[in-house]
Amino acid sequence: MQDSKQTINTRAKRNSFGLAIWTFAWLVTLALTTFGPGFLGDSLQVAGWILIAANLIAGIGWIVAHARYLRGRDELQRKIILDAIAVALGAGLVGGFAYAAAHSIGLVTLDIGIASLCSLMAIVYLVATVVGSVRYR
Amino acid sequence: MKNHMKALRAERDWTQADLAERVNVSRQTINAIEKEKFDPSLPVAYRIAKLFDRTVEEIFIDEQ
Repeated sequence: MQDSKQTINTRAKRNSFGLAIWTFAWLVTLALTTFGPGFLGDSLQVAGWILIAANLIAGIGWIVAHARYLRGRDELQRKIILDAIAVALGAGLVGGFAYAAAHSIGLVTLDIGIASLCSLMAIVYLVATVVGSVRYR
Repeated sequence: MKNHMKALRAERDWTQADLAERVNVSRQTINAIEKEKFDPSLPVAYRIAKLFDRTVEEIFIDEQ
């Protein structure tokens, strides 16, 4: 029934550290991909592809670390996180499509990029996690 | 789902943290189960029953 003899707290600490490292790596490679090629001049295209590849690899590492982090939590913590992910995904889809529809018929004129949608989902995820934790406290 | 976990834990003079460590779940999970806000999975229910030397049915009462 238990996948190892490690305590839940030990496993959570180790997996949280791994998740933090991969998140940092993904953010750094994303920043380099976004802002780095501007300084590279003629070697722009090759360097751009290398940075994109590095960002994708770090992104895959981040996804695996997140799955491991989730599996390392106990069942209540996993439920709180999964509920928060569901709310964040729903908010992103509903909010994103509503904004796109409003934009297409001219109700709003401000162009909002994918980063804003990701920020919205991240904030909703954090709030939903806190609400879930308080609910089961 | 109603349960007798709090009474059984008190008989042994264990804190929620003590029980959580023995069952290998978080203290928050033990608290949520005791307050009947969360129903444990079958493996966790069995670990709790084994720890208290009772059957699952003696600890957890299905009200449906």
